[in-house]
Amino acid sequence: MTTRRTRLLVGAAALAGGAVLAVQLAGHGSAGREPPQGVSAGVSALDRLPPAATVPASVVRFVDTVAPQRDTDPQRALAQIRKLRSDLGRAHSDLYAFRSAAGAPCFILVGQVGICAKSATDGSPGLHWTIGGGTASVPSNLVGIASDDVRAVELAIDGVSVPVSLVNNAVFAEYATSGKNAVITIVRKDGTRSTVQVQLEQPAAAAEDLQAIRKLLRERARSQGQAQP
Amino acid sequence: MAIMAAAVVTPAALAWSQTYEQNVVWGAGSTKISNANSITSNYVSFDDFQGGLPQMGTRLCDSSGLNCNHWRWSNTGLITDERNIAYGVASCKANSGNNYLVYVRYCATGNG
Repeated sequence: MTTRRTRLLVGAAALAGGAVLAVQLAGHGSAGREPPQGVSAGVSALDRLPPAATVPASVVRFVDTVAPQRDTDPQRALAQIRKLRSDLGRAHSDLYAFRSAAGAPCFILVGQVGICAKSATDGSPGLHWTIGGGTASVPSNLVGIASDDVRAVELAIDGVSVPVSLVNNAVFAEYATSGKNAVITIVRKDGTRSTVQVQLEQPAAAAEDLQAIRKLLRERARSQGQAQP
Repeated sequence: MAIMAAAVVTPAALAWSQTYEQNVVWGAGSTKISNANSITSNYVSFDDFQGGLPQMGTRLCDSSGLNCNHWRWSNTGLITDERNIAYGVASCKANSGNNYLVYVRYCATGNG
């Protein structure tokens, strides 16, 4: 199988490191074909499941904030919102999603993160994802919406595989916050695979960023003080 | 570039809010922080105007800026960080591994 595969590098994949997206196309039947963009192959759980009868206040706030920015009526979005997953991870979070007027899935993992793309064709082929986050008491996670043509999503943190669940088009995985590099692999039903690399950037490094900013601000204030009479 | 003229739509009806970055093009590793306050949300809106799916992140830190929670990344914006902090700063950042520029529509935070 491996020898029959055609490898197609998309976008930045030819460049070393970083935010790389690579697509491998299986040799039989689909060679040379690129996968559908983003989640444009459809997210059927948003039609199949019943709308949520009630939603938490934080979900209402999310919809009220993001829907207008996607030219979508918040009331209509709230009426159509679905609960795709329940009790996820150590925070026992629920995942709600609605479809914007442009057809993009907008989702929120309650208490943690929300994503709302401009178009269903945005983002990685087969998966609108977000990774990282967490707090002192809650691990980091991968959460996303996969299109109907996706069979599975795989996650490796620093080379170690992490179990990923895919139910109702919603993907979830939890991992220790100490990870530095993530590789997300999207496996489609036709056998093709896409990978996304993410530098997770640990808080220690992030603190260094802030220290650098503060040093810059101090230096700027000092130079402005010296310039004054 | 038409995208540069796009209106910035930021969250409304918050007790306190600050748009601490808007309408800029960022390379890998660029970052910005908000003023300190009680924070219940951080919004990061961006476009991959040159393609390549650059990634943006959000996180919150205490007011010293030295104790932060972990970055939350995505290559599709708008990201809404639903975490909160009693008193601290919000940040947005272009991932250090990005190979393409990213157009940051806005980074905005607030409470209420």
